[in-house]
Amino acid sequence: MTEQAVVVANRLGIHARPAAMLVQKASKFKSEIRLIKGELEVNAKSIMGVMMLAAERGSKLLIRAFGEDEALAVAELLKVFESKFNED
Amino acid sequence: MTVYKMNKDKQKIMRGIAAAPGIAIGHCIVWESGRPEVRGRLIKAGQVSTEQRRFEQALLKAERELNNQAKALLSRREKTAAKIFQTQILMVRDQEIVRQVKDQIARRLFNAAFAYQSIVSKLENSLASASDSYLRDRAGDIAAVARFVLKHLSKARARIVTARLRNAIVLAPMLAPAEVIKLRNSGVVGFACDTGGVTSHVAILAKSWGIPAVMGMKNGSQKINANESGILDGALGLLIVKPSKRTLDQYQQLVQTQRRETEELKVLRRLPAKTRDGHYIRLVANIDVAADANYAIQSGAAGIGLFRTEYLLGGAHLPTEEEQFEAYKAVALAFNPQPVTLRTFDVGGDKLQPGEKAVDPNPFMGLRAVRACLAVPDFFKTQLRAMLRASTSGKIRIMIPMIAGQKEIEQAKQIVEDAKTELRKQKKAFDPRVELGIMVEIPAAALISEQLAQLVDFFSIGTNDLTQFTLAADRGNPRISHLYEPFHPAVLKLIQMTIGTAQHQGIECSVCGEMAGDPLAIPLLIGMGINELSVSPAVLPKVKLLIRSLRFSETRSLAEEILQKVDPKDIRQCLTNWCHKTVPDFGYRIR
Repeated sequence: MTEQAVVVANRLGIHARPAAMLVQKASKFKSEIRLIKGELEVNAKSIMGVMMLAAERGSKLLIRAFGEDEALAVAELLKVFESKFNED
Repeated sequence: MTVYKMNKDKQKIMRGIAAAPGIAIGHCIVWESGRPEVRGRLIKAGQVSTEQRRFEQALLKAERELNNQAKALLSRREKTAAKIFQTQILMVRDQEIVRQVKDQIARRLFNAAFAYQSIVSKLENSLASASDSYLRDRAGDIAAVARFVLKHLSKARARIVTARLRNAIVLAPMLAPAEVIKLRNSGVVGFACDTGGVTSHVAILAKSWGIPAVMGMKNGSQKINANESGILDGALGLLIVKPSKRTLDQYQQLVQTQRRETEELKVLRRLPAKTRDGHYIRLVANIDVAADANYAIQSGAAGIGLFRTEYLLGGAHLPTEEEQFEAYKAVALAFNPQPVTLRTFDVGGDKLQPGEKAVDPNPFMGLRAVRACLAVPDFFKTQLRAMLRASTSGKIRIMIPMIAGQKEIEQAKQIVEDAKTELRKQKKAFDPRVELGIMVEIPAAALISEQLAQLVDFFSIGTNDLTQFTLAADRGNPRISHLYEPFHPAVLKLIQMTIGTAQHQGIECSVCGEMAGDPLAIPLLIGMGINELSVSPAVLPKVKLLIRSLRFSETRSLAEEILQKVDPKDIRQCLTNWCHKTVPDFGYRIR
């Protein structure tokens, strides 16, 4: 299991476009990937799940991956967050 | 012998919002977007994998259909509509939904449709009751996706046989873009929805096809029996059910006339807006959404004189720079190399800050437009960045509304410079020669126009607000709306001052308010020295015809005469007489 914490930095939080970007990126990996916000845990490959997280700017999330490409998956998803979804 | 009146043959008129002009004569059909009947049944244990596979096939088909719709819209540059499908495609494929459905099929032996329906309903309910308004809006998306998928899954045949859709006027509570396109492809000739308005997708699509759409009919779709004959008049916002012979004849004549006008329009599009004695007027269009660019081009516009950008603020979240850039770029490209004038946001401050409540006691004169934008400089800069970036795709001009003085212009220009510096650092291209102008709609701006002209590249006179502010008369207040008179000598004087300054300082001056499309005002404005008019695409062809019947020299004499008068009633009468004499075919009011 590989795990990494991340803070949502873009101004408008995880709305449609960022959610889609996360889901599209996560779906490329074989590992099971979860996003955790407090008590809520969702499947990062599910657009419904990621949207329901309603992660606004400043929220702290945990990226957790299980599987053969887990380290790469976490690293790549981290990059997506850090690029602020190409928004700002 | 008794003679009875056949009451059930009386024609009925229903009214709504005129959202897309045109006339359709056909039979009415009520379109049920409701979900096809889903019956739950238990499958046999041995059928589990077959049923799971059937489910996956249905998802694939739904996904393929949505992809095709998205592609078709993209090829017509309808990016906003295409994006809706792209979100829905992701929902079709949603891993969690697929996993749970397959699980229910296997463990509880439900058939695919029932399993899918129950899982999606739960999702739809939790979205609909979310505290976040953005999530609440997504409930409709998942519901639409579910209908799509269930259609492929359940054996129920499509409710309406395709043949009956040819020449039909479709009535519905609301229609999703995919449904509108499918209906159109089946030969539907007009749309009437219970909800929605002029910016609904139904309206935008109908406009681009030249067929009528009437929105906001309340519960019109409930009051119709299937197959009743009807006439849909999109320009007046009417649905006439069971038209009388006389009404039918009138409309059939109108259709003939409009067909002829459409042919003439094709010719007129290529002709210039030039007076009989060779004076050119730049005739451009006002648009409310990027998607109307095509409509403007069809009408023969030589550019966009006013692109109202407020519609971008209508979504669940503030538009990002990318979203804005796409919209501005699309219009710039469509008109390249003709000019496209983008107006920065003209809304109340509360709309620029999510979560803020409107507190202006007098919003009309409150924190709106440039004042509100200067209060949120980062967001203002985002819009300016998007506009600057779009300048590589065409000739963009940036226009700032509600300017009252020099300081605001200087502050706005500073933010523009900041945006340019950032873009240069980030190596994002823009045309450094982008023109910056202002709307002259506050009397102060007209009165000190000499000073302001030195700071900007062009003026555009917003006659609606200018008239309201000058006469202190709110058009929307029925008690004094009769005081709103654009031909009041005070208003004309301010317009004259602005034009004079522009000519003196060598900058362009246009008119983009309602006056620009008023046949009584056009000769006067041209005679006063206006050489650019921005009007709605719906009236542009008529305005061009009017310009082509005028003589510039005569309009100048008219202006000289009018500007000497002091009584607004007198001015209006004089203009009316002149028009009746000189250009009698345009004596009616262009709306």
